[in-house]
Amino acid sequence: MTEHTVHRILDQAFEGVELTPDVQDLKEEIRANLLARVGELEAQGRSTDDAVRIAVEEVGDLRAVVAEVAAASAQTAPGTWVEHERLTALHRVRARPAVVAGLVALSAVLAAGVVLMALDATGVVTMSPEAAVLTGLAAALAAGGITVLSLRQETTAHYPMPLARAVGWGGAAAAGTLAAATGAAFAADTSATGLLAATIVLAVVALGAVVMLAVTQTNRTKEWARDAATRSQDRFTQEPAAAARFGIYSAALWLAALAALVVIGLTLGWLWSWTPVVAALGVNLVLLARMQFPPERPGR
Amino acid sequence: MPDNHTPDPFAADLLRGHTDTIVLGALRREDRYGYEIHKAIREATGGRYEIKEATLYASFRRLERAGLVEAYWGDETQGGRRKYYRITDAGRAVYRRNLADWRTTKQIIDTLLDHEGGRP
Repeated sequence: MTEHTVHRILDQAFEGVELTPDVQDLKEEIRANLLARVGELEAQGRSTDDAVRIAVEEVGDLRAVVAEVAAASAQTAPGTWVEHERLTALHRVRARPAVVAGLVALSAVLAAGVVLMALDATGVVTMSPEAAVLTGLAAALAAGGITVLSLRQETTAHYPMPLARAVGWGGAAAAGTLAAATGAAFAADTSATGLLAATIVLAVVALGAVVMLAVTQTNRTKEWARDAATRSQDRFTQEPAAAARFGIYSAALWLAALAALVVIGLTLGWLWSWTPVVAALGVNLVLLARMQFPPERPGR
Repeated sequence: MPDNHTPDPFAADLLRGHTDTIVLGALRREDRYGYEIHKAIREATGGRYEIKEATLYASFRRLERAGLVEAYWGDETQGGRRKYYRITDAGRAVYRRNLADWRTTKQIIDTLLDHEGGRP
């Protein structure tokens, strides 16, 4: 009953507006919110009619937002290289010298650790298992540090990652590095089964953490960079209809070329039968150039 | 009917300029759907200020386009399915920056209006 009334009122509010998927989405969203409010008012003892009336009143004037959503269709102008350079310069974020110095130092530790572990695993250098694990631990801390430090930095195109999430990625990187280290130590001394167990546990932990972090990751790209990425898409990505048209033209072209090939082969002889194929290839390339990069028309 | 105190035009204008930041703030701790956000804002001010839901819908779409929030439909089985909003990492960064900007601005205005943060 309630749902019915709310739906009727919404239909009136959206009257005369073309129901594009975006508009439909807005309508559904408003409907669910209205029903939530109506339910709350009814629980406070209002009659259904009263509750619906109050809820609708509270929402306010929807005309502006409905018109806005209805009008917001893909109006992205193709981005130019010059424009992209200008935007990049405008939003440039310089790296902090202290951070760069820290990253270089940590990278040196990581590189030294990896080289030592590789030499140990291949038997060039002999280390005790304890020394090997300590080397791995140092490398793991360096890898974790590099990850956290990098993700916490604001860059030209990205916002810094929240601390907790950055530490999560850093922990996963450290666990992965340590798994590699214990694996290398095990390769050097295959009698140490404890190392094998540690490798498996650490690898599972690292993998699980990466999967969990990856599936819960949200956007951290800045608005200007998102815009630029959309605008610099080629025409076929922006306009699937243009891509479909190109495909159909091409199919028709090659069908005609094939027919011409057979006809020429049977009439003039097979020596010249390849000419339609060359002609079709040329036309196809021109077609691609004209459709993928349409010539700019004045006044657009 | 609840007694809706309407802020004077100056305060309302000032508040309106911060709608997007207020919405981001309401999403900091948990994902919420439209009416929940509306209610959270109303209750946070003890009913002294409320953002019209129509204004909120425009804000949600602005924030989504900018990549500061992500929307997803809930899986309610009965009644209408609700559209939930989740703040993104970019949204958190923008929220923090706007908060810092606001604190600076507030300090400056307090100083300029010779107002010590208490009653005038």
